[in-house]
Amino acid sequence: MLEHLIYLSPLLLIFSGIVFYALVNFRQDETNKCFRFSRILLFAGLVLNIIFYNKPMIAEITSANRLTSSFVELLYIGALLLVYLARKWFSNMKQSGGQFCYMLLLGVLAGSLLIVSKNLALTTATLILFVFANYYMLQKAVNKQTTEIGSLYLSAATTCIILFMTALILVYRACQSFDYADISAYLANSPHSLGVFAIGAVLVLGYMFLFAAAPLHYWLTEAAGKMTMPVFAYFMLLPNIAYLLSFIRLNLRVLQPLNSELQMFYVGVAFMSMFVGAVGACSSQNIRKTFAYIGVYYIGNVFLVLQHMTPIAAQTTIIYWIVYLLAMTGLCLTLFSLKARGEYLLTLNEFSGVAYKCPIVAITMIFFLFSLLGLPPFTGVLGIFAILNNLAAQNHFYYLLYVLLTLMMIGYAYLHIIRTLYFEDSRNNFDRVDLGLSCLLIILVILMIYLVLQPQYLLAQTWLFEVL
Amino acid sequence: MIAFTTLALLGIALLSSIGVGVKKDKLLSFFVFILLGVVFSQFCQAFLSGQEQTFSFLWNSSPSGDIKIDIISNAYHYNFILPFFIITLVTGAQNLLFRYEERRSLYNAMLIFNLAALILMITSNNFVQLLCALFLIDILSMFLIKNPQAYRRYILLNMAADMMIFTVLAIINCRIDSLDIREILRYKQMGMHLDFITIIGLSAVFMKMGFWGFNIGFSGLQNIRVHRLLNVLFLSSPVGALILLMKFHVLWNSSIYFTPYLHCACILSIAGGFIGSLLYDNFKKKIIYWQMMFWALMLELLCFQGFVWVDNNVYLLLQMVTLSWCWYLLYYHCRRPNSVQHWLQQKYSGQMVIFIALMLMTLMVAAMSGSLTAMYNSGNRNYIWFFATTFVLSMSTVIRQIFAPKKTKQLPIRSNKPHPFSYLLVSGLGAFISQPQYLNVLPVYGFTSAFVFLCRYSPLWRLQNLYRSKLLQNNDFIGMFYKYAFIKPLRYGGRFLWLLIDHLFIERIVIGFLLSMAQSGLRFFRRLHNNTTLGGTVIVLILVIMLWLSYVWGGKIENV
Amino acid sequence: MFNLSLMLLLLPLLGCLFVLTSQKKGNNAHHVTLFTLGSGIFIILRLFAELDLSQKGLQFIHQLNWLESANIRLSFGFDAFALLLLLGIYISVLIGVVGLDDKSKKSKSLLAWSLYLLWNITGFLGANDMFSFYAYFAGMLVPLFMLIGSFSQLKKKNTFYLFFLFNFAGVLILLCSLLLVYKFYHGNLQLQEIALVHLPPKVAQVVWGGVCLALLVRIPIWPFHYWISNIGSNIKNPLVYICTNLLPLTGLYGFMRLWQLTIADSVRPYILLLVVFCLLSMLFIALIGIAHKDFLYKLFAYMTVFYLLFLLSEILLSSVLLADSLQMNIAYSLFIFLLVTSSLIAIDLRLEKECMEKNCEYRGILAYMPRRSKVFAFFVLVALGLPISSMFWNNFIIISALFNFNFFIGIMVMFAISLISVSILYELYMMRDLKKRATNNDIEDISQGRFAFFMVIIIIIFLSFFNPLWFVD
Repeated sequence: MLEHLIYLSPLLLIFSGIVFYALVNFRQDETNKCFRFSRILLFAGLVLNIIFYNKPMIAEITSANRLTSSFVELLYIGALLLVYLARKWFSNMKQSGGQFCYMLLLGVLAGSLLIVSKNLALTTATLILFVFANYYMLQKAVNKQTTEIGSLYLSAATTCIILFMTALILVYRACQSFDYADISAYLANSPHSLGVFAIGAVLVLGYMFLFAAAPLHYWLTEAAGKMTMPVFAYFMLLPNIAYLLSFIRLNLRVLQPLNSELQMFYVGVAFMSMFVGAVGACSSQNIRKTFAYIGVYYIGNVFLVLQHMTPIAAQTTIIYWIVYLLAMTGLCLTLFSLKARGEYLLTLNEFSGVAYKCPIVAITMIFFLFSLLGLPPFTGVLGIFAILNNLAAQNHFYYLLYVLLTLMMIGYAYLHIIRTLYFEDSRNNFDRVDLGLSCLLIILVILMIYLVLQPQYLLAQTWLFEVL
Repeated sequence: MIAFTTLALLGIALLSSIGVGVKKDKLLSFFVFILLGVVFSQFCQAFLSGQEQTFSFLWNSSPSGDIKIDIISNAYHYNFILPFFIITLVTGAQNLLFRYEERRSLYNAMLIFNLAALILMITSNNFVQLLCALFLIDILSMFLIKNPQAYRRYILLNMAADMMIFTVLAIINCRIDSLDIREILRYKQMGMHLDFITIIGLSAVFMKMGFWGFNIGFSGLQNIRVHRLLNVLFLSSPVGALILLMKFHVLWNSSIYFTPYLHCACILSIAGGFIGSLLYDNFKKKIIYWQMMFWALMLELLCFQGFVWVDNNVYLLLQMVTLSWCWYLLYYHCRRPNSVQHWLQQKYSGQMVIFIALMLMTLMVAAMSGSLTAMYNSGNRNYIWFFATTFVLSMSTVIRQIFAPKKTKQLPIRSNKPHPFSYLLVSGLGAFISQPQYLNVLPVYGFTSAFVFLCRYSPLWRLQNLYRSKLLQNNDFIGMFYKYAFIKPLRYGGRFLWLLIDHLFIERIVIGFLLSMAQSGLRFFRRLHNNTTLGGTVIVLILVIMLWLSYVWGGKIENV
Repeated sequence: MFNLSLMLLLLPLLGCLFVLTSQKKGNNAHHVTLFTLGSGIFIILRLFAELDLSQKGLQFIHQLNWLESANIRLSFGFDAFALLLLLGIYISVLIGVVGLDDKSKKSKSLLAWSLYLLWNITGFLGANDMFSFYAYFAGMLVPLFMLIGSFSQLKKKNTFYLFFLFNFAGVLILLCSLLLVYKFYHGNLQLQEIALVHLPPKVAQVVWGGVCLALLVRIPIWPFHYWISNIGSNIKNPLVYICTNLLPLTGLYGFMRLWQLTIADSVRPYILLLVVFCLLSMLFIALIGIAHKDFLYKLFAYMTVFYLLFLLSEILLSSVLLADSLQMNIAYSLFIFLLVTSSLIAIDLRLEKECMEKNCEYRGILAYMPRRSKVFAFFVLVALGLPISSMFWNNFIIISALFNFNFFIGIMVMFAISLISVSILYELYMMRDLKKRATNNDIEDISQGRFAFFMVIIIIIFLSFFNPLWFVD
């Protein structure tokens, strides 16, 4: 019992923090305190996770291996980074960051559980937790006049959760277990029927909604343009770390028997997401919205690869996603770095001539954008290489062509941003870039360069196959 | 020996091209002339002693064989080089005596480089050497002309001719797979397109020689100084073209088009030269037309003697050059009147000098008649008669036009008249090349008498009225033909293609279509992409359809 | 020697980093760039000295185990062909750097991106395996995009985007093609081993057709010429212009490397189409060159015609005997071609800029500038193929071989070359013609220093006439 408690300690620590937040409502002038408190909690949680990296919290419903612990650690690191960034934002805007920290910890808690979960009930519960955290974030983030986005999110999320729970109940009725392995066995042994297909489809739909894959992307792309910076960064980074691994596990451990039935649906979602992401990124003038669309595009690629629920596809997806997350982290950092007269930049026009005033931010932004585009020698080439290689290996030549086409379309959006940054005259008086942020940007760039020089840390992880 | 001469010439030319001040320039040009004289004397000694040597230097290698620099000394080459050496030497002397160049030594250097290039061309056994020397002559001609306004067409046309020669040699080389000129006859056995290369090659030769119909390149030369003009006409590209023809006639001769084309061009050039020299007011133009007639005759003569360069060709060339120099002295003596109309009106002092010059011209006409008589045979007689008649008539008419009428204006004498030694030099040369053994024949008497008679009573002198015709004088009809037949269509064609393909097709149609498609797509996307019931319904519909399709086709789709 | 080749591969990148970190005061960045280029040229000459010209294939091989699990081992090496081109490229960039005005000399981003591009080109020319071949091929796009975007006055932004996107499409096509090879071979191949991979005929057609297309995108063959010409006409910075015009060279080099090995066999049914496109493009661009009054456009047309000539030679003559020797002829020609075109670009763009600043007539301007006129005239004459550089007789051999292959092709090629040569020559005349100019303006002649620099280039070119590899002996 004590052993389990010890293994659970990271979660308990975060949970106690959440309870503490619920009891103590931080005032505006105590912003620094709450961030410091969150930082300590997250750091301690990270350390504990590293120590107990291969120890499952509750062996029956969770699993622990190098992959899950890596993702959990990534989640903590991302949360720590967000705390660091959000503190700057809240201090600058003179707002209380208590509730943000509260929701962030809730997100981390849900994320940690989601990553390690091997039980559909736990997964559903954590997803509900995530939905709650997300909704609260959205409500806090979106301006009052646009709370309809929050309502829309809530109604859609509720529908998804109801569907998800219906699937849960149906599954339980069928196989008397929530364990992934049992459900998978049930699905494998069931005849090809609409009901079985519906279970799989509903589960996938739930993740689609959370990922904001097209056509269920609207909540994120619309809200992104109106979010505050910390919330935007939260949505772009933190949940995505947890969702991906959870989704991969669901695919490999549960839905694999339905692979052939779902394959076309995945391809459809992928095609649509890639198209919507690319076109949306090109058409948007709001930089955060553009990035949100870029996220949709990348989700499309993930679905395209995961149409084959194989370990190789999963590995490809993980590589691709890590590269994407690194680049997106960099982009979020650059958005935090750029201010004009104390205001964070929102529309693309405001970025005109950044290169002349803030060269380091501009050059790093270019680095991340070209990385997302997959041009060598930037890190993104590893992701693109992995995806295209996977498609070529599976003989999906038409899909390959489609990826190239959409990549060119989204390339237009990147070029547009770069053009604004570099080739247009400066219209804004940009504030001085925070030294800490500059350092973080440089560290991230160095890390990404290192990954290109030593790709085995990303590409050649043979142990991934074991755990997948 | 020729190799030594070439190297010595190159050395002298390099020395002469050293930039020195104005004062030292005269000294340097004198020194260069002395050196040139020494080299010439050595050359003559070797010529007379009949030395035969072969100098061969492996320059480079290529898939078609080695590229060698061959300078072969033999009697034939000596004979071929000799007139050009003499012209260069006399020009150098003139340059020394009469200050018409600001930078004499530099001008001398150009002439000597040009002579070296001519020698390289004459002695070449290799395509690359031949082409190098030919192109070098063309580059040097640009410096000889100096005036960009004047050399525009000349250079452009020469460039086109060079490209044609380049094409011909490339075709020959590709067939025989050898760069050796001596092997070109192999092309005849294996080669195709013989007629094509003959026509192209001959056309290039005609362009370089300024034959009628191809003479637009020479029309701009009326704007340069007469001594430069003469050097271009008798030492530069036309000579290059002559050498080229001498080298390749063995091959081109095999084409059925060679002889008719050559004759046709020559006859037209003699006729065209005759008409042109009478119609145009510009004195330098007249010289250009006479030169056209002369080179046409020279080609005809060579054609009938199997393209073998003989002594008479040397004499004939030198006689023509001397005749031109007589005109040149007269021209300077009479204060450089570009227009014959001006010449008509002016009174000149020093009638004695004019008389001597005219006498010398008469002597040269007699000498030319003698040389032509010596070369006269049943084959070329018609051409010789034709040339001799038109040439004598044309030149005597111009003399009649200039010197017979009463002068109305007395203009002051200019100080920069030719040096007395210049007259002596030309007279001496004239005497040296007169070939007395041929002077004492009936045709010579006939022609000389006719020349003298026509100088006073030429029936065509009234053609001088045409000098006032602006339509005739200000328009270059052949140039206009080229302009409207080739240049304008090419330019308009290029512009049209640019507008049609680049602007209309790519920019307007392809890019425009892509952009409008993208914009329409974006508009549609935005319209669909808003928070409305319709949008929601569409999304749900899409989802349902996708799921349904996936369920129905699930597991049936193959990898595409 | 192994270290020297590695140094050469890394030198421009190091130079780029030094430029980025150099102080803003003075011309530090400029000096660093000059030093980098000078060192690069020195290393290339040193490599040439050690090169065994009789040996076939790449030398100074340097290998790097990039990703062992995926069997991706990067390999680099140089042969005489690559080194000669590289030398030409380094000198071209040097010409561009020397041709910069005082303001541009201080631009760190310009110099850094140029060196970064040079790094990519060096890597591309030295690439001996599929993966690095692709990586450097694609890597050139970023610096080029930044250079063009930052230092050109493009009014039509769509053209600029399309230029990039077309090239990007080429890069992606190349990637896909190489991934297909990777699929069949399961590892990174050395370029010379590519021919050993047995692909099913249809796959081979797709793969090598893709590679061919990717390389063609870089060469201004119709309709790809449109983007390059549009971009070029808006660039007023000599260094950027020179860098942009190195892009077709990379495509051409790709052909040189891969055509003989494998592409030719796979795309044989389409060779005729390619040749027809090449010829029509040559004629079309030569005609447009005649129609334009702008010297720079004529120069672009000239460069295009010659790039296409070299491409055509490579396509058609790869099967003939002594193809390797012909390839060296192309390399000699290309070397001079790079030097001459870069010099002309540097001189002309500066002249145009000065004319624009002083608001004076461009025509006849050289009549007042003896030094500029001399070097300009020399470079134009070399460009025309007159016998003052090795370009003359190498072109003769190449064209002769083309005639040997097909008479009609040879005629078309010669016609296009003649048209564009006459057109360029006419422009030289216009710039030297005193009568085209009413007055003398205050535009100064090139400085003594620059004149001396161009004289050095002239000497290099002139010496190459006697022996293209004179610096080796």
